[in-house]
Amino acid sequence: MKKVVGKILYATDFSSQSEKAADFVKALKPVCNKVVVLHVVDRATLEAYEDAMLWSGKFESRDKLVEMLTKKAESKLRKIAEKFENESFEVELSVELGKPWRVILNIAGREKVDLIVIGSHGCSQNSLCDLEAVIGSTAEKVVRHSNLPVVVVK
Amino acid sequence: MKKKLIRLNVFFRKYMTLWVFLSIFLGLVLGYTFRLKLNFLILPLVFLMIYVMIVPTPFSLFARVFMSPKEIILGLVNILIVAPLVAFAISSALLANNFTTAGFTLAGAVPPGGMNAAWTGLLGGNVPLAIVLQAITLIISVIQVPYTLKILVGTYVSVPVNLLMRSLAVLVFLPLTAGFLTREMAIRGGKENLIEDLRPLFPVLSGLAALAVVFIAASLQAKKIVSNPAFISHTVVVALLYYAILFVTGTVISRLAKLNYENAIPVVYGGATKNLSIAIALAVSAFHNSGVILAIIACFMVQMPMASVFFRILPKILAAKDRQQDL
Repeated sequence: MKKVVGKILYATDFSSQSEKAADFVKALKPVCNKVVVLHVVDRATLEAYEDAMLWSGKFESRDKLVEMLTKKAESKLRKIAEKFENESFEVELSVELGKPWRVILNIAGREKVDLIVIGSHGCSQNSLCDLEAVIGSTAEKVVRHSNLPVVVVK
Repeated sequence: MKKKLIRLNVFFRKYMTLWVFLSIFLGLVLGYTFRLKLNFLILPLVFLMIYVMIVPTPFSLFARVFMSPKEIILGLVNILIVAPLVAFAISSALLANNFTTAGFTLAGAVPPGGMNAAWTGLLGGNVPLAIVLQAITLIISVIQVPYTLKILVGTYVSVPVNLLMRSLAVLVFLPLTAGFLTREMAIRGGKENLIEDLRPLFPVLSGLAALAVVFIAASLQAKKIVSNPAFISHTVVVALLYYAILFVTGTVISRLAKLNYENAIPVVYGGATKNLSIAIALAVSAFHNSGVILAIIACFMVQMPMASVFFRILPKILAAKDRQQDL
């Protein structure tokens, strides 16, 4: 039987909301069997690590730092991938550098996915928040600019 | 230019512990010989130290507060409550001088310094979390430090809450605002690359300012330290014990809260690697007692070496916990 959704792009920042989003993807197993697991290393993260290495006197070059962050992210993505594989998903892993929302949309286009699943971050339900604050700026921009269906898991 | 600055940075930061001891030694020798009175320089030096720490910090990092509220809260508890409590408990139990106890409590109450992120990065921990904790505690410190001291040591020594708040407002908000404005203006003026190029210089400038503060503090107390070596050595032993207990309590808190390795590192190190230059500036401006400054000098001598010792021990303890969870 043809799967209704086909291929999902699951973007994670390794937060607890992203873990919830992973559970949502697993729940879609009856309608989909392929998932692209993506992590984007953003500029702020890169600069934070560069600063930390400069403070410790161990900074070599930005390329080495990118390599280190990519390896670190890949090892985390492999753990996530194992969990999807245990549920009989076909999994592809991807670590990219750039603005998270732009990269997510680019990868979604390149991989021809049918659905994007992403976790939200936000303020409490009691406070007055705009859309960006409620679901997080990355998720908000993905929702706003994507031509594909997007699920934001809270 | 950036490559040369990186080489300077690596050389300077690599031998930081040596520079700290050299500054204390030179401060003692020159302070004893020439009776230096350079305390008026402490305020501008701490301003420079915090300013260069803030300029390269990207605003977008602060959105991470929402990503890990549990880790942020635990970090704040360890940095703002546990560290000063441990400092107060250990020093009041082992030292007879109330002002030295106030000095230890002050050293425990101040926010973490830039080295928290550095140790976190070296240990493969969550660096953005370390930087966010550092920035939040820096802002909160204006209210938190004076009241922590008032509550813990207020019955033993006179704590000038208003003076401490005013000093902290100047020490924290001025450089913080100037740092953010500099970054914003550089970005808007298309000079972001200049910040990029100068990035390796900032930790060097900050470190030099911190060393100058240590030098001045040691020179101010030279007579007392040289004439009473037993007192300072006793204070250093208490400082060793204080940092050892701080690392252990931080680790226990992280384990009880089931933090993973990456997030536990900045929480533990945030409590144990404080911005002691701020503590010295406050001690000089608000407490006119040498016991307070001597306690902070002892912490200066011990903080970095103890952080290096636990750099080897902590990964074994915290990573072992992660492996157990995976099984």
